[in-house]
Amino acid sequence: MSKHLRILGVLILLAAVLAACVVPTPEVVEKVVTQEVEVVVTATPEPAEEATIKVWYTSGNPAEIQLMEDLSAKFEEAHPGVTVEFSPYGFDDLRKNFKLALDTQTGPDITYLGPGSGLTEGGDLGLLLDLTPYVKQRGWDQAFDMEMNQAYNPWPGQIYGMAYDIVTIGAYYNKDIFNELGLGPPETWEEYENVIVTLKDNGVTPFVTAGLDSWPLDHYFYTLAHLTTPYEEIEKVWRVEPDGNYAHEGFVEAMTILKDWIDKGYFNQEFMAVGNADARDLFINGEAAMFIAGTWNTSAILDGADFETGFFAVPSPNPDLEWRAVMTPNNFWVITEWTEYPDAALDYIDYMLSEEVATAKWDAGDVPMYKFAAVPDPASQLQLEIYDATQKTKGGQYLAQYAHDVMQIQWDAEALMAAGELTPEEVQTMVQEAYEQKLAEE
Amino acid sequence: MQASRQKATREVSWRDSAPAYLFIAPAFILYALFFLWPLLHLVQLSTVKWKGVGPKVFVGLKNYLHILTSDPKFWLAFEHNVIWLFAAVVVPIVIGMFLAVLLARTPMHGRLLFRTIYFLPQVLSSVVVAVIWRGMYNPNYGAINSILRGIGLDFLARGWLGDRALVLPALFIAWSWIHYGFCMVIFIAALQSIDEVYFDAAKVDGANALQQTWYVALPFIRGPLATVILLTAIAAFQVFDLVFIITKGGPAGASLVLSVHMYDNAFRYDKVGQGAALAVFLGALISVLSIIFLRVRRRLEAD
Repeated sequence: MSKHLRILGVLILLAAVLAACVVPTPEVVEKVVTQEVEVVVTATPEPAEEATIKVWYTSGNPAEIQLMEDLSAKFEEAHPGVTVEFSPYGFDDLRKNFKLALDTQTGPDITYLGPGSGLTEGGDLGLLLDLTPYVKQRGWDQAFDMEMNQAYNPWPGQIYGMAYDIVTIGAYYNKDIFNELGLGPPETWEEYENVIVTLKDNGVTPFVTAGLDSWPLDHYFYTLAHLTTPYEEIEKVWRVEPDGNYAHEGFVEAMTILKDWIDKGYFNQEFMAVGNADARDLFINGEAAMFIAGTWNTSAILDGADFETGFFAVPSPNPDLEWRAVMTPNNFWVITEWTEYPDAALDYIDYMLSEEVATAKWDAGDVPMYKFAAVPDPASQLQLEIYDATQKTKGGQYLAQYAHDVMQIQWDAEALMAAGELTPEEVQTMVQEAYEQKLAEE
Repeated sequence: MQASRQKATREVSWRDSAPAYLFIAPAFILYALFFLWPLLHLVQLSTVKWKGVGPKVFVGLKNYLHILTSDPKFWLAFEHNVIWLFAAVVVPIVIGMFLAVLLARTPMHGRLLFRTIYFLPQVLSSVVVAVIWRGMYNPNYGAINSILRGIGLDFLARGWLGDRALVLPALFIAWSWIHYGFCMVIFIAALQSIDEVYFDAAKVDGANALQQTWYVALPFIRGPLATVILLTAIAAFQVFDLVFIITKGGPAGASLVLSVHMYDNAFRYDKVGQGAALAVFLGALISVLSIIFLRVRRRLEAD
């Protein structure tokens, strides 16, 4: 009996081993980089076919999710026969799941995602539909800033994703506190420094941040780095290029300013033990004057604060550099190559890029990328100030978006600097070493 | 004749056993599909360099060599897990034993209520526990600092989760809060199985409560004690959600544990092969630990 059992066990294990060895890999489509081709289409688009399209969307804002579900329902009404299965995801969840989808070539027909979440990998592997022919055909190039869109589409002559809204990192500020102290939104770096010192001298915490979640503190560094570092250096490290240099003097200067602010007590107490939502609550509760953060915080701030909130782009200390902010397209609409309903998918994206949707998003308080002929009435004064800020500055990048291991080293080093264990130069040297190691491993 | 009797026994046993194999086959197939196959796939992944999408490149044992020789965070996380292990086999077990003796041996009203209260954290989702404790440790609004300030101990209030020296003990306290209840119920069951005669004899000899516990109760519950030590030790190496939700291993790796480091490699750094190698290593480590503890337990029970 034991002999038969052993044979049976070995056979099952062998079968399992064979199954494990035969792992289907996606058919890699050889991508041919083409020259930009002007496509002139004379035929009208075909009516929507019978189709069920799966849409994966990412947002941390329940109001935005609701809006997208409502817009998807409107699309269905206008396209009889097309059903939209709309699935919202958290940012990290979408990143994990979409990479699995790319690997197995199953899952969504359409995804709304960021560059570090599979856009680049999908484009490189030829697993995303090339939208280039449709940009002119559908008039997207007239309605959108394609230069900003293309900053995140690194394939010459090919467009895999279309963005429809902008996010930027800037300074939310408590207008009540500012008005009490006779302050206004600063236009220059000197005015900005004066604002900070005045707040501190009057017993007001200038800034609030969240070291427990790491990235909110890093956003202060990113913002400063865009003001102190030539943009080509920022682009190099963002694209993980061989001559990228995190130890560039511009990055060191930004980290030095951040360290100076920490040492002078410009941040909330025990900020290394505070998470992002708690930091935002501290600002909403009036316990700090400014919150340098991304504009995805707008609805939470508008809902929670009982004071008037303003927004300004952080002024630059360096007049020789372009005035830039960490302003980027939010995420991108992409269509997967394996979709069975490319026409329906294109119609859906076309709708999402329409003026109707842009207006709906504007009315909801977002800043669409759509080039309105005339800016509609803002949903709030805060939205208008955010929009003005996006018009004043040029765009930027999330530095380590394609290198999360390097980003973690940046976060670790900033935590050590906040604890007084590293200098700004040592921080950037540590990050550069991690960056070089990553390049060596690639 | 003996040989033919043995042969007949074997033949009869195989025929008799066939229906049994058929009955367990469905469960075994599910087990093979959802455990064995993924396990083998994991081992296979640990031998490749892969970003989670795109082609896999076979690298043999390089991932294991890398984590053992070129990954400082691995040793940092391993150190934290070892510290956690040593603390885990003492703190929740001592607390659980203390409560068990109180609730099993001490005449008092409301014993069932107290048992329920102390066991409650065990039934909560670990995500819920993590959110609760992250809130409790909040330096501005959290219960711990609020209480300390309320009783005039402001100097003790601090940013628990932002202090590299305190974050690991802070997380361990939250983890112990979940586990001491489990230890308690195991010990209560064990204590209640001891014949009262032994305690009576000890009382007659003049033993106090502490001496009764030490000299009478403990020797009888060595087996359950070894089981509890084994289970809490395994849990100490498996700890993930509490650390991931509260600190994600920060600040600066001060609370990093192996499971979080494994997650980071596989899902954040796009180093799936290294993440898989860490998972295999962790699984092997827990298996070795289990074997050691089981042997110790067998010896204790034999004694």
